[in-house]
Amino acid sequence: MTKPNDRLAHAMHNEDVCNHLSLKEEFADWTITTAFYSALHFVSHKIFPFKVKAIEGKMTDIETLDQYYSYSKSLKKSISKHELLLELVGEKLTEETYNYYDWLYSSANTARYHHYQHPPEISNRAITYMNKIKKACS
Amino acid sequence: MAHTTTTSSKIESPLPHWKQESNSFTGDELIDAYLRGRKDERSQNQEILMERFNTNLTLAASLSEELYREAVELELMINTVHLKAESISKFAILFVIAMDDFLSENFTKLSSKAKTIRERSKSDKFYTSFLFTPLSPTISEECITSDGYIFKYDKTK
Repeated sequence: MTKPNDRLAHAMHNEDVCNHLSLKEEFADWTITTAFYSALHFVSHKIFPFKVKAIEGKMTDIETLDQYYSYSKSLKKSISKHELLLELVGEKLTEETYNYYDWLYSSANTARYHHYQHPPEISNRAITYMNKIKKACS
Repeated sequence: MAHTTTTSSKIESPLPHWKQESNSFTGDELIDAYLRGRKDERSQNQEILMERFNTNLTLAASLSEELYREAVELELMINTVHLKAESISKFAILFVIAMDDFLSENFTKLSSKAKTIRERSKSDKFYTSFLFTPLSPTISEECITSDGYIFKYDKTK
């Protein structure tokens, strides 16, 4: 079971990697990717746990994304875990935080379409949004 | 004298405003049969699934066009829009947007509109996601197409 402190620690670990990679411009693709994965754990730290109605009608705790994924599949949703988390960000956090996270999600997911080469404006923006999400989720 | 025949690789897109890549395979037997217009023996169940796919594909295209119009309203420069069928009920739409616009304040408004469209249209029989990427000198349409984005919006139509 993922403990809240583990999620936050994981987020900060990824943040450290991101900040380290950002020192070299040629690692812009990984800066973007690690900024996203840092944000992923920051939002997870903020969102989980929460309660949902179980199939039998009782309320039950959802502690992790994996649990929520299993729960959603039972409701006939067949989207990916990443898409599910994006939805949760949209439902449970501010519109501003959602937009930052959506931008990072898109950028990380499509990095491979640019032969992994990105201008510094994109990687710098990724860091900015990661920091904004960290602040919003603290 | 030997005769050779060549088969035209041009495939007619089932969507009126979208071009379909000629050598496109999704890996899904039913979808690929649909895209090639194969009418060889189909069970009743397959016919039902094909019909559902056709309805969903048309809906996904329509939602893409709706978001494109929203982007134009926001004065965002959309270079290309690509559509992928991940299954008969799940789709992904990729917008390639001018770099400056991708970094602009108006882009966040487009992201919010995409979320609204996604939430409004989703059901247990249909889901579409929206992704955005900046136009860059190194962007590869070949890579995008090989990732399954076999439909490209024809803005001239």
